[in-house]
Order: sequence, then structure tokens, then C-alpha cells
Amino acid sequence: MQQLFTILVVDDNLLNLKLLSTTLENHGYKTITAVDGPTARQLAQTEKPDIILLDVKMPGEDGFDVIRQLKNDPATGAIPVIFLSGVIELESKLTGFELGAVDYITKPFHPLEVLARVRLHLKLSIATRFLISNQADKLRQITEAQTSMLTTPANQPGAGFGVYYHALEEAGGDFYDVLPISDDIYGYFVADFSGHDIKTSYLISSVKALLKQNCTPIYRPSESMKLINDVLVKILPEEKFLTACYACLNRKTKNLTIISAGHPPVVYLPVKDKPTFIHLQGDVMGSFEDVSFGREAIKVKPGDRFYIYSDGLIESSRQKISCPEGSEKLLAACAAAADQPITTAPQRIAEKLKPESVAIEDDVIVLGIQV
Amino acid sequence: MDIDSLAASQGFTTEEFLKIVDVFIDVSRSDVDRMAKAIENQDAATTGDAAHSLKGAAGNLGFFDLFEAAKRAETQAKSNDLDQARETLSHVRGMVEAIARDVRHKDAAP
Repeated sequence: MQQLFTILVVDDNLLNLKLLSTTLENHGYKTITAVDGPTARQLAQTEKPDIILLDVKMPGEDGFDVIRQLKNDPATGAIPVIFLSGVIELESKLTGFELGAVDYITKPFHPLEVLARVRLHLKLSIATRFLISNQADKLRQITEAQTSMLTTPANQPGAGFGVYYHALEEAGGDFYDVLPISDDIYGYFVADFSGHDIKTSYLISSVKALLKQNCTPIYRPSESMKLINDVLVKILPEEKFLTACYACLNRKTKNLTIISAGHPPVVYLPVKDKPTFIHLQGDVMGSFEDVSFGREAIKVKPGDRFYIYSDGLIESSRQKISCPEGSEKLLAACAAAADQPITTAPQRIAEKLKPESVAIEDDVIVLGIQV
Repeated sequence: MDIDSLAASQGFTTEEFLKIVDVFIDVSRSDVDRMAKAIENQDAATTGDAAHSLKGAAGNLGFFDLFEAAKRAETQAKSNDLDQARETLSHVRGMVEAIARDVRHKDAAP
């Protein structure tokens, strides 16, 4: 059965109550009636009608008093009110609208006209509610995405990772995410947006949502990145792009796939071996549709580690550290942190390259993954 | 009075309309009594209120002759012309009772 709409009809005139309730019920509405203001307010609270038809001129509380109280009560404030009145003066109509009524019908009224207006205002009310719930859903998604932006090893114990994240400003341009794709498969994503501003932080939320939608068992890692790129090309402002690295680790089959979109090389630290870079060529994301990303598939062993990071870790204009020099330091730091648990190793590596005494010049992320 | 047409014009079946008119007659008789009492008491405001109520009820059901008469009484009360209002009231009372007779007749019809 479809949802039954409830209309509260308020009038001290029994004839009007009978007339309107008969008409509305004949057309599939449930009606409840009240002959005075206090009863109407009580019914509005308990029954939550979809619309209230309210007489203006009533003994005791008149319709204007009633609507004032209804609108001041959060439980009833959103219920559309249509006034019914024998008072045809413009001033009375304007008062009714000012107090929050959605319509004002003058008596004598034709019952079918009242029915038509009830239908109209129900449609408007449904559309408004839909709009509000839609907007709330979107905001909720953004909030969820922003909250999950700070995912931690404690939140995802099966993902076997550790992270160091330091944003230069509140609206950081770097971000990371760890995505549980299935029980044994995890995705690890690190990206660096061009620019640091509020716009960027909203775009990060969009990318987070896109990762959630597209990093699934259905798609290969390269396909996931391609799909995300296609959407980003459409939504990013012209000057915006991002470098990114996506690693997808299947802990069951011990396969790791790395996709690079113009991002610094991943550090690979095999168990009891020296760390090396996995250099991959690839286009940045969000600039054009026909992209080619770097891809590498590696068979891994338990205990192997990978570090994905942002360029802020290895470059410094103030310290005059170039990328090659910073890269050498990074490899050394990764080797030195090999005996650290993966949850704390990224912090140790960051401290080696960016000691506290040195002012941070850019966002820094170090995401460590252990097989 | 063509009850069937009046009912159809309001979107009701004749049976529904007769039930509504029953309520109308009760309410209208009460308004007429209120008017009469108010006129006796030289209470123009209450006379006007009762006439206003009757006018609305008659208009809503499509009893336009009664609507016009009640409107006249309301105007007379507003201008404090209660002698004229008394005269109009007797017309109004007659119209209400005529409607009641028509309805009883319709109810009794096979």
C-alpha cells in the first residue's frame, strides 16, 4: 500500500470539518480534525500530519496564534499550513503568509479547489524534503570521506600499514587512503594535489569518494585509476591535477600491483635485503582522458615492505636538498627503520628526513605497507 | 432545489452530500438562533459573527440565495442596522428550513 497522507483540518465550524474531511477522504487522504487551537497543536505534535488546513477565525486561540506556536516548535515547524478564512482582506492574507503559511484560501471555498491546493502543497513539500535529504546525503558523504581521510592502522588492522602525515596548512594538498577491497585485498593510495586551498580539500573528498566507488574487486588497479581519472578530468578546475600512486596488495596470492600517475618512485624493501626504488613513468591524473599510467606487478613475500610518499619528504629548497639527494637519504632511512614495527617506521623515516628543527615546506606523507 | 446536481458540482455523491447538508442544517439553525438572540440583545457584533458563519456555510455548499441573504444580514449588523437585520433574519430562517424540507423529501424518496 502506498504511503497514506494525513491532513489535519482545524475549524470551529463542524460543517467545514465535515465538508473537507469527506472530500479529502474520498480522494485517499487520512484526515484528523480539531475544533480549536490547543487540540490542533496537540494533534500536530502527536500525529505529525503532512498538511494542516487551519481556520483563521476561531474562538480562543485563533489561526494566527496557532501557526505562531506551531512554527516555534521544532516538532511541528516544518508542517505546511494552509489557511482557510472568510476574511478576504489583503492584510489578513499577508499576515498569514508572514507567519509561515504556504497558502491562504478564502471562504466560501469549493472543496475540490481545497483538494487541488492540498495536492499541490503536498507535491511541493515532498520535493523540498527530497531536496533536503539529497543535500544532507551528499554532505554526509563528504563528512564521511573527510573523516575516513584520517584512517589509521588501528582502524584497519588487517591492512598492515603505518603512516606519517603532516599537512603544511589546514587545507593540505597531499592525502592518503587505505581501502579494504576484500578480506585479503587492500588498496593503498597516496596523492599530491597541485595547490593548497579550501577548493583542494573539497576535491580530496571527491577523490576519496571515487576511490570508494571504483577500487573494487571488479576492476583491475589500472582500470580503477583510469575510471577515477576520467571523472577527475570532468570535475577538476583547469589548473588542478594530482600525482598519485596506487598499490593494490593481495595478501593471499602475494601479488602487489603498483600504478603510478607521475608520482615519486615507491621504495621496495624486501625482507633482509637492501631497499630500492621502483621507477615508473606515468601521466598525472585529472588533466586529460588519454592517460598512460606506470604499472608494475611484483610477487612479494611476507615481511616485505613498501613505502609510498609525497615529494615533500625528499625535496627541500630551504635545505637545498634536491630530489636525487633526498632519495638517497630516503633509502638509507628506510633501511634504518627496518627493525621498527610498520606502524611506527614511517614516523621514524620522516624524522630522519625532516627533523623537528627544520621548518616544513610542504605536506609530507609516508605510507608504509608490510606484507 | 436540485440536490443531485449540487452534490455533483461539489464532487460528492448524493448520499454524501445529504449527510453534509444534515450538518449544515444543524449549524445553520444554531447560527440563526444566535442571530435572533443577538438582535434581541441589540448585540450587533454577535449578530454579524453569526451571519458571517452562516454566509460561509451556505457559500461552501452552493446555496447562493442563502449566502446572499446572510451576507446582507452581516452588512446590516456591521452598520448597526439591527431592524433591517431582523427582517433579513426571517428570510434567512425560511431559507434554512426550506433546505431542510428539501433534504427530508430527498431522503424519503425511493
